[in-house]
Amino acid sequence: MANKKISQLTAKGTALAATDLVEISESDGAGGYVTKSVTGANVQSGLQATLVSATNIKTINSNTILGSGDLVIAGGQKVPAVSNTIGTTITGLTNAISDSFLLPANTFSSNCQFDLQWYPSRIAGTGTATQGLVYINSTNSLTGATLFATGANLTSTGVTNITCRRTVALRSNVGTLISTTSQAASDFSSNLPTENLPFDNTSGIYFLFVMNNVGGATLQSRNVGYKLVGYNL
Amino acid sequence: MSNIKTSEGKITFNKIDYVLQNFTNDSGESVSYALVSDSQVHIGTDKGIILFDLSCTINKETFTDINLFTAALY
Repeated sequence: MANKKISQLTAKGTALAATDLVEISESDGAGGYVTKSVTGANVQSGLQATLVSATNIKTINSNTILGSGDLVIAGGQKVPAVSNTIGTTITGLTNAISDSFLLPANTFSSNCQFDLQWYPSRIAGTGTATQGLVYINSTNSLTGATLFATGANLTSTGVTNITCRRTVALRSNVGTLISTTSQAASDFSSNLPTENLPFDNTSGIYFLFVMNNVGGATLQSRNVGYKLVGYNL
Repeated sequence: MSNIKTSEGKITFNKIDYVLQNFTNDSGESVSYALVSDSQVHIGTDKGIILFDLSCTINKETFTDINLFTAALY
C-alpha cells in the first residue's frame, strides 16, 4: 500500500462487512491524530437500520409510507377550526358578531360532511331571550351574509349557555342543512333546514358567530367557543 | 357602501342574483322577510336567508328606516 493513492487500491466492490477494517485518524485532542482501525460493525452501529415497512417503521391503514411522493389520506377527519376563545360581549338590542373564523379555501372538497358546534352564552341583563346565530359570508361582515344556523333561545337570567350543533352535507358545493326538528337531545339548535345552501369552499368562507339581544336593552351575551369537524367524501 | 339592485322578484348584491322567496321562521310561519333589529332584516331567497342592513343602499337610495328599506326590496 505504500506509495499508492487511494484511487489506485483494488476496489472492494461489495457492502462493508462487519469484520472489515477501516483505517481512521483519531483525534488525540491536542491537535494531532493517531492512526487506528475500526470494524465494519463499528461503523454500522452508528447508523439507523434500513427501514422495512411494518418491521421497524409503522404503516397507515396497512399501507406503507416508504418511498417518495405525497401520501393522500382520503376520507380523513379534518378539524379546521376549534376555539375556546371568549368572544366579544354584545350588549342589548342588536344582532352583532361576537366571534368568527375563516375556513380557508379548499379545506373541504365539493362533496363532504361536517358538523359545526358553537357555544352561545347569555351572561347578564333582563329581557325575553338572547340567541346565538351563525352566518357565513365571503367577508368578515354581516351585511349580505347567509344565515347558516339559529341557536335555541336563552331565556333564563344570569349566566346561561348551551351547545348548539348543525350538520351539513355538501354535494357539488350545495349543502343540505340537516333538520333538527323533533330531536330528543337538548343540544340541538332550532330548525332551519334547506337543501339549497350555496357553499363553495374553493374560496374562503367566514363563519360569523352572532349574538341577537333584541329581546332586551340590557341583555349581554357572547359566543364562548366553536368546533368544526368534517370529512371529505 | 354596497348597493342592492332590485328587479322583478329578484335582487342583485355583490354581483350575485337572489330570487326572493318565502322561508319558514322560528314560529313555523311562511314569511318573505323577518326583521332582526332596528337596522337589520332577514330576506328569504333561493340561496338561503340573507341578512341585509341599513348600510346598504337600494338602487343607490339610502334608507334610515328598516321598514321602508324592506318595502323597497319587494
